[in-house]
Amino acid sequence: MAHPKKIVLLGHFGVGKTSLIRRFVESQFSEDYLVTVGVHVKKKEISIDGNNITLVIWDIEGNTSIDKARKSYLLGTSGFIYVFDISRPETFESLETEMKYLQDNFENVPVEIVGNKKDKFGEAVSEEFFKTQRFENCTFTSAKEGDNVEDAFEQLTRKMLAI
Amino acid sequence: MSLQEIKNSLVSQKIQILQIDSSTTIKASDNTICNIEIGKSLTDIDPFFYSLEHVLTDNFETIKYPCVNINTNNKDYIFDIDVFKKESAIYVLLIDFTEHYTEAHPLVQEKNEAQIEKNRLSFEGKLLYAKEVFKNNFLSHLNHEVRNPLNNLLGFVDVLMDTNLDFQQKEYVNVINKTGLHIKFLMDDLLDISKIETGALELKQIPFNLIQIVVNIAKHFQTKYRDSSIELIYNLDKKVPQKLIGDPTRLNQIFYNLLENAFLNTKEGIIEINVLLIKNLDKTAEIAFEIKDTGTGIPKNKIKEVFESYSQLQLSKIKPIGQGLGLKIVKDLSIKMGGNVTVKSTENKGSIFTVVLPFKTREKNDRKKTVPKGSGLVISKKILAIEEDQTSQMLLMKQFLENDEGFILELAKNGTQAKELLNKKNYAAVILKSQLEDMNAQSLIDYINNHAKESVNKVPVIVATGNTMINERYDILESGASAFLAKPYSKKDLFKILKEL
Repeated sequence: MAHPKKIVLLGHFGVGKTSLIRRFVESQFSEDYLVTVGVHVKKKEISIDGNNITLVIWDIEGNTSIDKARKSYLLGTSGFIYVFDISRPETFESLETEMKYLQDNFENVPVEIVGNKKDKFGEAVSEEFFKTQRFENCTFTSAKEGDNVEDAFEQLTRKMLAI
Repeated sequence: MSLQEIKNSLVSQKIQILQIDSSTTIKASDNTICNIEIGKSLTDIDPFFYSLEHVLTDNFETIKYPCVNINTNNKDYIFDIDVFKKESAIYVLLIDFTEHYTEAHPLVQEKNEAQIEKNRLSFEGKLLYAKEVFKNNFLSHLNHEVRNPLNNLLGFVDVLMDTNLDFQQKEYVNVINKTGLHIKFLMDDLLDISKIETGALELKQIPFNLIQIVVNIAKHFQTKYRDSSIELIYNLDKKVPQKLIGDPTRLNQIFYNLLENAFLNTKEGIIEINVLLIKNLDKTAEIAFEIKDTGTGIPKNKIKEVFESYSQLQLSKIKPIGQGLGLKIVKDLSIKMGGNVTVKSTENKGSIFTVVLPFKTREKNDRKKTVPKGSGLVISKKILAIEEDQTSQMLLMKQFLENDEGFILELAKNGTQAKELLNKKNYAAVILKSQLEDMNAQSLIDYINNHAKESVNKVPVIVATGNTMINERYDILESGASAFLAKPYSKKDLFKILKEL
């Protein structure tokens, strides 16, 4: 078996990191918000272009900035998924600063930016707002409906394999 | 048992120690907390341990992973995990903090939920504020845009009324005039709400006599509704001080809107204006203004909504919408003036609206002159108006065609042409708009005021504009203009200003 790849999900609390992992690993979803204390680690094997890869996915507690995350959690990371909630501006207000932090501290580690809860588009959230240049590299997902969740993990895995 | 022995016994129950090799294979375990099989890999216990494969390099010393959720033997644990090297052997400490972290969990949950809710409310607040600003700006611009054509419409109606019309034509013109005036009042109401909400409305602090206000407004309504079956009476408590300092225009507006509302909702009976003293302190007085009617009253479930503009708009399906805005203005003005308004009502019996306002009181002979004076320099009867719009030019010409004062109109289509004319001729006044075809009003006002010739720099400038926000008026007057003419204005308004200059 190839060496497992460690993926860490980052972002504010309540953005849906646990739900995304649950949807990806167990194909399940719950509406209830249950706070994550510390870290839960899940494993999933996927196949990309004929390669079997084991993903070890770290679901860490939410933080308002990456700088506040426990440092040992980020050791040995092969790829990050930075998750924000499209319906809560405070979760993407500092997106550029957060990306700069990752660039400075984890130079060659690929990052996938995910705007979660896309099922809220058209409700109180304008889809047009997220079509601007600022969000052009983001993948919009819905852990609730399963939209683009696998794509987000696969896109990151491809980036990790390309390094 | 010694203290040390007790302590060691307690600590040992909470810590499990394992020895592993660099590929995470378990070499030994004291199994204090959970049963771990020797020879297995740590990664078989929980995927968390895959991460050790990356960090167990030759030069690592100690790594601490706090608060790690592990599920083994179908039991959930929360460990602080320390990995360290001693005499080239690798050890893993599993420190059991399950109880501690589990107890803290509801607190973190509550804290996070509260923070999410706080942020949501704050965001919604910001969104509402932004919508309010947008609405007020929109109203202000709309108002400006509507006032210019409305000015032309009402101006021409004015001119038309002075021509030879037969009876039916006069009736039609009257209808056009009333409709135009209705739009004007509606625009004024909307602008007032917008001005109060944006804080652009500034209150005056000038001396006035309360009895004059009450008598005048009562007379106005008695005359207006003289054919109705309603009697309007007023009672002014003798203790109420008469000489006050405040904003009589806005007090009048409050009276006007409350009385208009009372008359609209009363078919017959009595409408009372009662003015009562609440408090009389040194140099200030709190006065209650009560408008009592014997009208239809307000249903209990609607009473909270009467002061809200939008609910009024919805409620008033059978009335012209402008009538619904008066009470919203009363509420906003009362608050702005440091007071409040309340209503008591019984359906089919009537309503009592009470406005309580504070005023400064004054001694006799404390009156100051409040009307600003013009330059008084009228050296010619020629008036120069700068206007590029043909309809507006026609209206001005019609307005000046027959005037008893003998004013003669000359037109310039832009600022450049106006400058040429000013250098050649003497004028009694210049009328211009805030934005001319080729320059803004300020440039031309500066040109006139700083002109070397006294015959030019002493010419009074009147700015006629649809911008009626009070701060814009101040800007215009501060820029050196002599007077401000708010659109839509009538021929009478125009000549009144010209005569005063």
